[in-house]
Amino acid sequence: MYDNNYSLKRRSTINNLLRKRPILLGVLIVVIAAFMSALYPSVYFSFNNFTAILLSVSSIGVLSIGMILLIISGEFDLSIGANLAVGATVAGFIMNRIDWVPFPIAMIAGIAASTLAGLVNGLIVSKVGVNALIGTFSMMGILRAIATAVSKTGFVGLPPGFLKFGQTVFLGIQTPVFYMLFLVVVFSFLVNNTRYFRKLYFIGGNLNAAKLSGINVTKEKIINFMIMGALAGFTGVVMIARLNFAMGDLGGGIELQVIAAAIIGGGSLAGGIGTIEGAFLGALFVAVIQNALVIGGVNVYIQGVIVGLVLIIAASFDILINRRNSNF
Amino acid sequence: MLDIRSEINNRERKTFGQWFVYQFMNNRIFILMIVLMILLIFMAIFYSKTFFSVGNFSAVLLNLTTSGIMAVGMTYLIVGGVFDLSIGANLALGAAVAAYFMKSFTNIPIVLSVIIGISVSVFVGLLNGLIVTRLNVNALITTLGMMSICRSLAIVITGSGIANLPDGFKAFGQLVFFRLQVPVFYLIIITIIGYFLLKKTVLFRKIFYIGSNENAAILSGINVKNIMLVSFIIMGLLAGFTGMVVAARLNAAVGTMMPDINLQVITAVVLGGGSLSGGRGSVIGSFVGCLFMAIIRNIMVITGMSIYLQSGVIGLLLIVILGLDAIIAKKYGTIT
Repeated sequence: MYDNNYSLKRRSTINNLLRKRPILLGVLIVVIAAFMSALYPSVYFSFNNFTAILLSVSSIGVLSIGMILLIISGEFDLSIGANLAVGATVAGFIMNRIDWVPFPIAMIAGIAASTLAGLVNGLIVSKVGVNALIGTFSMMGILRAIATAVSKTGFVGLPPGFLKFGQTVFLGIQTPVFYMLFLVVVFSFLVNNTRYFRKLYFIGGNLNAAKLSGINVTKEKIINFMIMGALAGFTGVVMIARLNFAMGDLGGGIELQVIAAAIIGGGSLAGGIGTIEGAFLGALFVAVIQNALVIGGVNVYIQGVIVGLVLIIAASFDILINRRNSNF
Repeated sequence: MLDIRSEINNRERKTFGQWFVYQFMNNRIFILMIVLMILLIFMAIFYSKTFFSVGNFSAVLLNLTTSGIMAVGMTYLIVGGVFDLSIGANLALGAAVAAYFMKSFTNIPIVLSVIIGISVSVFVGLLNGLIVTRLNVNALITTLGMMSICRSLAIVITGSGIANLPDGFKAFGQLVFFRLQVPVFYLIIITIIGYFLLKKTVLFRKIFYIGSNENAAILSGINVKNIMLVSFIIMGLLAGFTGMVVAARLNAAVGTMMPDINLQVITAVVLGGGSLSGGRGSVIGSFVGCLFMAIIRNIMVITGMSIYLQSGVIGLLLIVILGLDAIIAKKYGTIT
């Protein structure tokens, strides 16, 4: 940025654009897609494949919205997998065992249960002050136990009206994709343009300064955990609408993939940095890579190696880049 | 109005409540031992035949040695303010590499295969340390990524599992001295060495300062980067060693083994008094934490709880203990 005479040099527009993580990810996705389309024209470059990619990212994409909100404010949540199972099994229980209740009420009840779990998470981590890692990890165990207790052997045969919620095809694309895109666009707008969500960046940037500016940090963090819970419940409900099956161990292991998506998308666990669109593109980027590896015939387990490498490179990207451009 | 701090400084504990709070804050081992005694009494009354049997003690010991050896390394990391989520994957990878060498190159000595396996784990620890200290990536992200990489490599190397390892290797984990399995001795020796290094050597004592206030440590001339790098390397070494022990006991190396041990070990260290924000923790406390978790799991298995219910109970236990810790710390301030 500075040349030897200490005057400010302007970077090229492309340089400036590529420094924004969402744009960088978008470019990389297009590059990979172009590369794969050249190598596997009939299989890769098809409407079916692109919609398959979008469908595969629909759960993680929705969850990463909630996670990036938490990460921006300096926390995170390991219990989302268990939380989505709670939402799914509560909804499944009502639809299966209490069948005089119309299924929309069951869906709302499931999402409410997950939001309640999110509230408890928020109280434990922000009001009581337990460390986020151990606190949400413990809640994960508790919620998983609750989900398994509610579902026992699992529920099948959910109402057909409910299944339409997750299995309808609209313009050739499955509905969960639309839900995900809708939520991403809405939250992206809200976070970038409203004062309410801008507060999260202050909380994550400098907690004490935020408190002194009059922001009720505890309340904001609790609300974030509740949003995360609601999104987890929603994801669980959509999941069982697609599977026609609700069981206690849904969503196992998804939390780490969601955190990875948020970090690849530009978030930092130190807080104060990250965007909704970045988190979504991070999730999409991983899905595009996984799809490319599958079509390319690479051993399924090598995917784990690649995703791990991508995560580490993404997290150290800023430092790797700055080392090249700066004087020290 | 005397507050609890001055009372304790005067060594006067007026009420049982104040004494309890003091012990709870400063002597986590004390609390854990009390709860353990209560549980043991409970088991003696209701399940004495099943619980107090040689077979059951062996099962508890296996769980204890696996997590206990790695808890020593994790203590160093947590005291320094970081942690390592990749230990389960790391030990699986080390075991996978060693098992692969043992079965594919039968002419080389078993010891060499073991050394190669442990070296792979040490290398993973080195990478973890370099990425965290040189590239300044958050420990959670680094070890998460490394966990994914190691686990995938372990599964690729072992395929459906490498079984029937050579007899000489079995002895490494299954010899019996004084009616105790060998891993117990490994655990005792490593715990004692770990305890002395952390408490009595200048080099490792500095980890407490690093964890409490990293900037102050840097300004005091402590080589924070290198000390934490060494800690990650030690963690890798212990993970590799544990991988050998587990593979020797199971007589097999499976890529998916020990999937949740990372959080189990972190939990044990935190139960034993470690703080995830750094600066607090002890090797003995971590050992007691591992003992506590191993016995609680064993009790839950004997009483027939499902796996998920077990995780729920442990989660509830953690929240209660850590929640009380946080509430008391807020009310009275941390007493050191």
